[in-house]
Amino acid sequence: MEVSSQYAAWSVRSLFNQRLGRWFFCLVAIAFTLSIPVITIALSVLEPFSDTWRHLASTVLSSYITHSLLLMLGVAIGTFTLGVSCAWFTCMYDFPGRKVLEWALLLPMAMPAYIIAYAYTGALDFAGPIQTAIRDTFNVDYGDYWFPEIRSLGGAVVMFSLVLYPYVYLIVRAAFMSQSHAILEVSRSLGNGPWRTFYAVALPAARPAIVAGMTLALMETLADYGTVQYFGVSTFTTGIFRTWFGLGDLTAAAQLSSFLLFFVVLLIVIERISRKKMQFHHLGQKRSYQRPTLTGSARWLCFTVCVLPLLFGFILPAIQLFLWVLETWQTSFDAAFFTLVQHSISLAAVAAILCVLLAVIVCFSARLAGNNRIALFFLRVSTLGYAVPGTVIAVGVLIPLAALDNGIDSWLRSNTTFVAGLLFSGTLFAVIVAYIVRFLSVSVQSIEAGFSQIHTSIDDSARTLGRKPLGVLLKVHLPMLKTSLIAAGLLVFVDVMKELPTTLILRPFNFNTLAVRAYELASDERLADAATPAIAIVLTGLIPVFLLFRTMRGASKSH
Amino acid sequence: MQLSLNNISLSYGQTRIVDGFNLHLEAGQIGCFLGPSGCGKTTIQRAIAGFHPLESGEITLAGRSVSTQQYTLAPEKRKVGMVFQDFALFPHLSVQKNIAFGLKHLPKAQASQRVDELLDLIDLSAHKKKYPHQLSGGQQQRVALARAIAPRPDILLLDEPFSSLDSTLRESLAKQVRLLLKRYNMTAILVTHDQHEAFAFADKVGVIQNGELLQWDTPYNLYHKPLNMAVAKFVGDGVLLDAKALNNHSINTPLGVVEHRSVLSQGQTLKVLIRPDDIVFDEASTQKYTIVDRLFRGSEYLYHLTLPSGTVIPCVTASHVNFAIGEQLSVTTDLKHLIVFADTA
Amino acid sequence: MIKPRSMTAFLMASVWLASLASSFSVQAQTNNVSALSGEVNVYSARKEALIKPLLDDFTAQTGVKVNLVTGKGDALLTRLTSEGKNTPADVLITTDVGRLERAKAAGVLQAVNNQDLNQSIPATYRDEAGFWYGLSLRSRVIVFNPKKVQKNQLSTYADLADPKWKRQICIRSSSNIYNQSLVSSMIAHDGLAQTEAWINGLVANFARPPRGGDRDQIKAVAAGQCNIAVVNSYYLGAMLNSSNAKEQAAAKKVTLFWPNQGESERGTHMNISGAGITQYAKNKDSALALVQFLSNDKAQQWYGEQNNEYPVRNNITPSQTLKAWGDFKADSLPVDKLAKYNTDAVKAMDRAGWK
Repeated sequence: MEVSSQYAAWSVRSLFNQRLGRWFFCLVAIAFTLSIPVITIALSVLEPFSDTWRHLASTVLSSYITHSLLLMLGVAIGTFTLGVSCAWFTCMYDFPGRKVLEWALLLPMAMPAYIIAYAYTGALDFAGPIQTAIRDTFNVDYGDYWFPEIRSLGGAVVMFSLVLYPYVYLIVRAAFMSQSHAILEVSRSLGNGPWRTFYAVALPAARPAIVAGMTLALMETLADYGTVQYFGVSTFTTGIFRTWFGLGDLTAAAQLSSFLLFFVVLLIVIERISRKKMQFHHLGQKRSYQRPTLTGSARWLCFTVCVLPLLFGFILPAIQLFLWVLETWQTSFDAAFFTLVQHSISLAAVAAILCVLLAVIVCFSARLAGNNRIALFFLRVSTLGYAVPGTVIAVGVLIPLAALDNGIDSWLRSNTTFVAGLLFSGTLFAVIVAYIVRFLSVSVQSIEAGFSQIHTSIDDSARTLGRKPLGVLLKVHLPMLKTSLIAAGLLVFVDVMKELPTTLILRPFNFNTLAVRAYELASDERLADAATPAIAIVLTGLIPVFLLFRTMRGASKSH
Repeated sequence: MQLSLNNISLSYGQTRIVDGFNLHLEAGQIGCFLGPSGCGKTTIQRAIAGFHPLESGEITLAGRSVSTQQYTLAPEKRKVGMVFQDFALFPHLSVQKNIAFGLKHLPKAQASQRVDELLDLIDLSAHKKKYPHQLSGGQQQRVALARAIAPRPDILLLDEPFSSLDSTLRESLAKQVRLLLKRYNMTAILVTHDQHEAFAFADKVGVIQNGELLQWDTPYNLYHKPLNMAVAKFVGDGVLLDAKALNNHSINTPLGVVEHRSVLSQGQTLKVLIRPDDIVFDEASTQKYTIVDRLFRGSEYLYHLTLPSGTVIPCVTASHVNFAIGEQLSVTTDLKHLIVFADTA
Repeated sequence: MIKPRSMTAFLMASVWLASLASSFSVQAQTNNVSALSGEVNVYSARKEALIKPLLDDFTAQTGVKVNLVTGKGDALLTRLTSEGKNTPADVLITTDVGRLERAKAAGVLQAVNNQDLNQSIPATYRDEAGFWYGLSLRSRVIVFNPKKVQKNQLSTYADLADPKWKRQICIRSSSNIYNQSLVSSMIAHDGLAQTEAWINGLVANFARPPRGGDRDQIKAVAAGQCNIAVVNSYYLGAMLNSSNAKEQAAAKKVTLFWPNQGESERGTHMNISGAGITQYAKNKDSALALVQFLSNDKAQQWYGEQNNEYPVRNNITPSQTLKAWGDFKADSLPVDKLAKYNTDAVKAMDRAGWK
């Protein structure tokens, strides 16, 4: 009893001592503000469960759950296989095309899942050119031959794996690069072959990175609506929309979202438990590693393994999009198109800067608090929005923001002569708030990983040399975190470029983005017309992907 | 008094690791916390630096109270310098800028003058534009030291600063650093588990075990006048042998009867500390014991001899005294300064 | 202490962010507090491409500027509801009657009961009290592969549940509103039990699990994956008029069939796109003018020409494509009934395993 009260006194003191109070307050304030949308949704659980639930439970709920789980399992396997194998080969061996593949393997990241789905369906569908050619050549009909059905659960797994594996590749490659090659050499000297060395030594050592990358990929998968809806795969997310739009029961839809949220929290917890072990920092110097040049069939095997994800994840769909653009570009390119590009880029840039800024504040505050449980709890809370479907986030932003606006307005009306109307609702402010709620996690992941590479003795030195926490952050951490900051900003930038549902619901009058335009055309089943904005999203997304790789390579050279 | 720890208690999580610890250090004195890992020495040092709050007690530094139960002055306001085991150099700053990091309160000219002076002193002027990863371990260590003393802290704390260096470098570096600190009349505390390092470096060494200060003394006294058996066992080589007081001035030990000028009561059971240098090789002696083990140390040989009672005692000889295991070694015992403890067990 | 230089940078960044934020709120004010009737604000579930040209026309004729946000019907409705009395929206346009009825039930529309509108738009396609008005009609028809199916084999929607069509029918997901409204109309006419039996029969006749949109169903018929599909007629029209040669070719391989045309039959199922004026419209006059404009002769013709939809009004000359499909009998069921049974329809389809 006495011991535990002492402990409580100790932890509270350590939280508020040493001007940490201010930072801790920041952390709590940010976490609270950003979790309002999620809480708004989660509170729906408190409302009575309507008749809709009995209906869902007796009919479709089990299929929503099984499909979501199968989808996640498939994407986990797919992103793991593609991401880890490419990371390992490009990191450890030299083979033809390695230098190009190193960065080109990131390209599928710029490809939104729904767009790659459109492209593949166009090509591989029963009515598409490939199957038509098969039928014409062999004079066969429907049912006479087997062809994989692209619009299926399996197809969705392939689509997600192809565009999401770069998350795993990016993070795991960085881990492999920073791994001490000494441990690999030790393994070889103990009589383990290269294969055993890979799965018994290198893989477990990179485990936190693998899990981190896969968590990102899986959260994106859970949040997706466009792809699964287009493929007719009924998942949790499509179920939420069906319940809302079809059954007209927003409360039940919100309750479903809360359960999705529970899934997500579970995922995060698993990821955290794994990440906790990544507490090793690299002391001393690392010898530079000379990649062995592969010869014979091994090099072509490596080349093939690494070129396939790029081919299917980027090159082929990009060619399909490009062919469509050739058909329709006269009607798609106009002044309005460049306004769309400008809107998309400026929104993405502002959101990226703000996400990085907030991520730095929350990560640093948690670090100041010694990453204790309370601080980490608030850190997690602030990033909950990532796996929640954009539409749900949008509703979560819409309702409290409108309530705030109406509250301010009626207060002003009754106390002053000023009429405020809606100050935030229906403005870009609302859109950006929603982006931050949804994507802060992306920047936090990157920046937190960066912070964990900085040993706490660095902070302690700076403090004893007379710097306040802010000074430590500005003079020591930020310069050391440069790579992580840029990576975080770029990841958010790409995500916002691709973002659709939140923008659609919250945007102000007369404001469109590339993603909105692509979606409107595609949902009107005008895929070819959607190709121009789609390829613009992809091309704009390429810039940060390229920069990301350059900073990544720069970082590995200078350290 | 430059540093006073008055009855401080520290906890880590729910575990109390230091309870009622007292220590005082004069200005210009170099102290050392010596103890096995996990004994609490690093935590005490972190409390002095302001990274760890106090459960109770008080820390005063250069006359001001810096930590109490209610209050912990921020580390940056304490004027404490610190050198870490991993040096914690800022990888994004050059050697020069690392050293200048704590000098932002000084005018530019003065700061750069002080940096140059320190660079000269640590003999790294030629490397001032280099980045930490371009330096060797010993060079990094010197930069870390220069960085810590550049702001002229009231006290310098060194946390195992030599442990990541080659053992051949350690003692010589410890001595060099000591000279440097003395030159600046710096008050310092070294934390280490290596007694050779402690002896080479410190004016006063505190042996800490389980959060308790067993003895706070000069290296000579720690070795030759340990206050208790725990210190005796931890510092230096040696064995404790059972003995018995014959009368108030002589003790019966397994090595014979020894005169001793402390107050003894007849029949009291005792422990006596035998150091390897208490047993001296003497070819002429008739006192012979069987060698059970030997260790060649280059400049000397350490033999382990077995007494008729079965007790094993150490003996150091010159390195040319070469006997095989199983042979007899003739020795005389030099037990004039025998260390005696009452056997409380 | 922060160095002056970084302090300046920080300040500049803050100022920049603040000015960004204030530019948002300035924008908000011009959008929200437009007391001038020189503007009208529209929330539209019709895609921008399918409404913007008409709105531009309206601006050109009246000088009233139209501000537009497009989105999914229910999302716009949620936005409208949560914005409450301060909503900037004056007009809500949707692509089916269900959303208009939901809006009415949520109390975000007002009863206009405008004489001109009441006269020009038939009662079947408008709300009794004038909460909303239909603007265009969307017919759900059968398309078939004439090489595999004879026209005289086809008759009604109900007939599609006949086992003779086993593995021959393509239709999209039951999440789609037009399938929901088709089933609602069956419930309205035949009751839930009979409709449920029909759904079970229909699902048993599926050639493949539902996926893709209506164009995909048409393409699947053209390619031979199935012989019959149920689609909205304007998708076939869009494909026939497509600039893409393959789409055109596919569309030409199928034939349109108007279901339920027999003497005793009720006619082909129709849904509407429509508009209502919001409860808290700040620019009510302009809003009304816009709704009237959207139902005038020229606009009514435009829906046909641009999107192959049918006008809600009888006296409009249909487009070439529509003419080629011939006259047909439309279901005279008041469309608000579709909204009434929508939930029942979705649940019935869930139970039958119609994905």
